[in-house]
Amino acid sequence: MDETLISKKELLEETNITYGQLYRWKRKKLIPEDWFIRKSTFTGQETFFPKEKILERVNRIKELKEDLSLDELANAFSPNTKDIKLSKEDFEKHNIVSKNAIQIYEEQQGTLKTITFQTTLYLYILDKALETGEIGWEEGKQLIQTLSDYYPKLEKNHASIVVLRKLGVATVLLVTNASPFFVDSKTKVAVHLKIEDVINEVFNVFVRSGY
Amino acid sequence: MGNYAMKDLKIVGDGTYPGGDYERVAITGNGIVSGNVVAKEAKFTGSCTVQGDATFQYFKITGQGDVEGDLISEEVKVTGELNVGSIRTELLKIKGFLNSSGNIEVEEMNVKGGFDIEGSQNVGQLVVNLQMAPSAVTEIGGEEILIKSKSLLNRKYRLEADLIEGDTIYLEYTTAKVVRGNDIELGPGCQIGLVEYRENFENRDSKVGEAKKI
Repeated sequence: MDETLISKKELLEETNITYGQLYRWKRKKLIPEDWFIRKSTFTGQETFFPKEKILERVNRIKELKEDLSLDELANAFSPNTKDIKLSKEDFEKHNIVSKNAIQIYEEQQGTLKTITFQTTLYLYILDKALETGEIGWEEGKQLIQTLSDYYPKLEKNHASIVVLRKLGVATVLLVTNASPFFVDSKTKVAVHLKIEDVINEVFNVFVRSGY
Repeated sequence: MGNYAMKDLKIVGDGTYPGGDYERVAITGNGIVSGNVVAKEAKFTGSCTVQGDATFQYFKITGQGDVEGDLISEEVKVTGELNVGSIRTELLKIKGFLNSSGNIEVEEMNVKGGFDIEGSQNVGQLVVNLQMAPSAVTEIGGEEILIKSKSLLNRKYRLEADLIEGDTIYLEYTTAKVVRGNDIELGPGCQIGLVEYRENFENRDSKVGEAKKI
């Protein structure tokens, strides 16, 4: 699938930011490394970006940087976000995830008082998995356990959560790269979610809810 | 960063020790750490090698330090030579030479001497005084970039780069294909293929193929 690209020069013009800002945001991990696409042109190497994604991201950074420091922003865009904390009541009020997801989480991990970005991410993944109808209560617990045990150890964003089902038995996998994997014909891939995509969704939810 | 085990690794003289989590790492002499290592503080004196990734909050090198993998730090001070796979740190101060086979990401970088960086160099503020040996880098990108060439003996060393992009740029004795920025000033001795500037451009005494206001 080909995405429309925008050159660095066009990006700076269109969004009215400077080279310094762009490099700074890259250092702060506000813009993912793999959005920087190098191509040879007649003037040598040029950098391009996936147009839609980068414009959305730059505009969002510009909007939010009025209120948040760059480090807070970096936290907001990275999966290791530590600084967003919500009380459980607030969280439930915004209907970010279903009550079931919260209940499953609490059965596995204990009662929630405040909810961090990380927890929201886990809850959101769980909720999405439940929505598919492919996994049940116990498997949801397995999923939460896998995420909370192993996801913090993965520092890179590029992980996917996979639930495999064979003969009614489910296995939860946390895999670190986006390369395809293959399963035997009796095994069904019940859930396959790219965590990076979910992070973006969660972030959007937070922004919409005014955090 | 996670929890640090409260133990120190000390090597004096020759020795190879395993990686791991330490409170402090101090190597004097000819030490090798044979794997990934994490510490709050590391001091290398002599010729020291980490055969893996190093995560040191504070890292001081006197002599020659090698990190074969990635170096992640907050403050790195080098007197002598540092050879790394890549670096990410807040502050990097070098009196001597830096060799990197990968990318450099630093908020504040201060070099007296030079560097050879095969990857790209992304810095907030870069101040370089070119001395000792020629420097080379594929790309420099940042906010403030200041490259000078001043040494006691009148020998001038040069920097060679494909691309330099930044908000405020001052260059001396630099060869680059393309330089882009808001305010660009060229001192003596530069050879630049293409300059693209948004606000100001000043050329004191350098050769420029083409300069465009964009």
